Amino acid sequence: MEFTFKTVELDNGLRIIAEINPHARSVALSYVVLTGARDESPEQYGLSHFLEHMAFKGTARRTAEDINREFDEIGALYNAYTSEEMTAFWAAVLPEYMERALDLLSDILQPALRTEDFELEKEVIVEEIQMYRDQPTWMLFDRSIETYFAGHPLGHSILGTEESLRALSPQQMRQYHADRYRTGNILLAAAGNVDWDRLVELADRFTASWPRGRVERKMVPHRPPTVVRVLHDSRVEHAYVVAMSPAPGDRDELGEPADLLATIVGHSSGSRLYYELVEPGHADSAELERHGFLDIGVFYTFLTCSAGAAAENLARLLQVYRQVHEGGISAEEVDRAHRKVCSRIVLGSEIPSGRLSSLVHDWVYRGRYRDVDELIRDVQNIDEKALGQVLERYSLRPQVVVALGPVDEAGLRQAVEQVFGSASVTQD
Amino acid sequence: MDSRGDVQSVSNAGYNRIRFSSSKVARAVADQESTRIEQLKNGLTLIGQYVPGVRSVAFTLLLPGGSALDPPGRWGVANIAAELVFRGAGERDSRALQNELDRLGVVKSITVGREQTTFSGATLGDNLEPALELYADALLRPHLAEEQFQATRALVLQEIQTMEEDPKSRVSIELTWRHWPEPFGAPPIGTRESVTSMTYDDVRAYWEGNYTPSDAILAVAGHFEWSRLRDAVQRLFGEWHGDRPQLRIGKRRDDRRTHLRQETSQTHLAIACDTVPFDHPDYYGIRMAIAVLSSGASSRLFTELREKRGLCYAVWASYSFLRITGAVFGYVGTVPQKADEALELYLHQLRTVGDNLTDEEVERARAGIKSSLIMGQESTSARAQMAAGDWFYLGRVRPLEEIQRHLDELSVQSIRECLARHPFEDFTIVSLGPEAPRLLRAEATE
Repeated sequence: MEFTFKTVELDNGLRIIAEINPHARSVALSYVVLTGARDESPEQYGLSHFLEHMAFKGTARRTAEDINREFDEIGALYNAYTSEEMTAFWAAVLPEYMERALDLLSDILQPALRTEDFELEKEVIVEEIQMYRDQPTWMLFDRSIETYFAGHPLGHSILGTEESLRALSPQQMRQYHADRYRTGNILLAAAGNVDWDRLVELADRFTASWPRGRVERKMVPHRPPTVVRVLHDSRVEHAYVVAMSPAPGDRDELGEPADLLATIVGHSSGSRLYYELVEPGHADSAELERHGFLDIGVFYTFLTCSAGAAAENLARLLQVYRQVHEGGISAEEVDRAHRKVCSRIVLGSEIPSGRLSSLVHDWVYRGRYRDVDELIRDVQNIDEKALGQVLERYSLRPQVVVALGPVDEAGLRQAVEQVFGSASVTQD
Repeated sequence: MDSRGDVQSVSNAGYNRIRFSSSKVARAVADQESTRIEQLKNGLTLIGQYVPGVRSVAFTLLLPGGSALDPPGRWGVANIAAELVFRGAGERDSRALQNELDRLGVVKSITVGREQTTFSGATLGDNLEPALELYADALLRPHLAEEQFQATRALVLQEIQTMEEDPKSRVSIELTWRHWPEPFGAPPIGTRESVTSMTYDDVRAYWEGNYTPSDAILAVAGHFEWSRLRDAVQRLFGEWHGDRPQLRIGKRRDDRRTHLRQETSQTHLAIACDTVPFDHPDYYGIRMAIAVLSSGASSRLFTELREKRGLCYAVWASYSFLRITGAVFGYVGTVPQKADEALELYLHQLRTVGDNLTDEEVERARAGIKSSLIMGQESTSARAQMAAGDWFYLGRVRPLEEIQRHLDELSVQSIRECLARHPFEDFTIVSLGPEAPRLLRAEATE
């Protein structure tokens, strides 16, 4: 494919990256601010995500209605998201609307943060929190992260709690914005049918008055506890089980090998867990993924099944992990996984907004650009030896097990010990 | 064997002769000039859209019937049949088949709808033929092993449990059941009772009776060579034969408004009303009206319920259709104390969408639909699905230009006329939460 990559740092310190595909029908743009839930102190819980919402509530030049209306006028597909480590604002538009889209995105990064909008938007986020509380999968996800990262900046919900949210003031948000939304902490990324010279010229103009400077991010090491916990909820009759153990982070050379390992062991179809648990009908889902952060990662297992079979299924699942550690991965499995993953890379790359997320991820986490061919080559270079290194340094034995539903805690604990023996290290 | 002898050409009238006024549209559509359509003697229609500049290819094999052909009370048979056919077929057992799909990099997705089952796949262009071979094995030569049926049923029963514990899915299932006429209302996945009571023979009979080529569609989009594809399809599907039973369309349920009591954090409200089907002349006008209600953030529902009043996080309305009818399906979730206000305001927005309709609103709705139409062309999967859907519901594949022209012709006046002919009213409503909203309480005591 005839993609070209360009990058520049503006005089004000803002970094721009773009992958240009002149055949694309659309252009995708994103401002990525390197700030998120892990940068919040306890009295700020929920602030990054709340600020993401407030960006759409008005600027010096535009009301909330203006923003919504103007995005719709250009037929933009747009949204924003907040993770533990990033807050991103993106839009995909037809190429002729690149300027208007960039003007809008640039404007909302300097929001007015008016008090009356602040109070009204709080109500919307409270609704968002309540919505997730009604979904067992989401509820369990939040609680499992809380348990695994207890006492660590990664250990609270991105949304915050209703209590933490109610306590937030506009002044706190203005301060947080002034501290974190600085040119040295923001990336502008573009993919698709990009007019590069125009993009740079416009970005230079639109961001000229932005606060400058770099921003420090504190990285705190973490030692997860060893915990088995069951949460009960009268509405839940099924079993939802999460198991977690340490994995390489996204800056680690072993991050991508660990992803391939997770594909082989626990992809939703055609993996070892699929054949052992889902295909025979023991469980309706049994998946393994790696969740990566800058400095650390987590192997995250998600199992759902009938409550009565939860302990038995957890034992089955852990038996698979034990076999992986003892018997390794076969060359045939590695080959099949290469093909599976590479095909998905190509499919994802054909849509500018899909390429954009890969582009941003590589730049933020690996500090470099890879084109599609390089991505594929890197996957194909992950061999059994690399997977062996992952298994040597990291164990799939869960350190934290959190379940939701009418499940017996002792049964889950027994399942872990039955397969892997008692925990060698226990934290208080 | 000369495979071409069995192929009839179907003309897609005027497809290559269309001229485009706007250069943007011209670029988007020029690629489509190589859309080819042919029908096999057995009734299978092959549609090919070559897309330059991509490495992938996507295909959608649409089988008419879907869950509407489930035996009465045995809802979920079509769903289990669609899963079961891939659990061993042709020369391969279940695992060998799945592994081969992975080896070919096929991203497989199966959707059991009410009127059709679609078997879709996407992979690198070079793997198209071997991938189609696997799909042909699954549809024509499945093993349908009884132990795999038992395993699949156990899996589906757990999936039903998981869905029922998600209030949003649950209200949506209950709403659709009450809104569509029989046999379209029941959830394609089935219910705990229907799946428990179904037998292996039900599934086998479904496959024998309905996995046939008459009116089936295979749409392919992306990187491929037409003549090779045509020969491959003839070789793989040419010997397939059989008809399909007619659907018997029944009535809609009487209990169209209900409250499901559950101790949830939010009250979940699902709302539906009738509108025109996809092939109706007023279709585009109604689509625009729904876009005015719920497309971007400046649309009415989002502005009135969320932005101005903070009543909800999620609120939407969307268009859905069967061959015989269409509907608006919508949702809003809100904390229980705001449920009355949210529901009444939601219904008010639907009823009054034609009032005060402005040129600017129509312009924005048009821009949104057009832009997602063009962006949709970037995905080979979306293209294959759209082509198959067009053929199934319209008997032709609409050129992009035709859709654009219909959208361009609409004005405030013509949209209001569409709404006057087909007003959004007579709502089906399902709520789920600790307490019934006032509107549903009042009805229950009547």
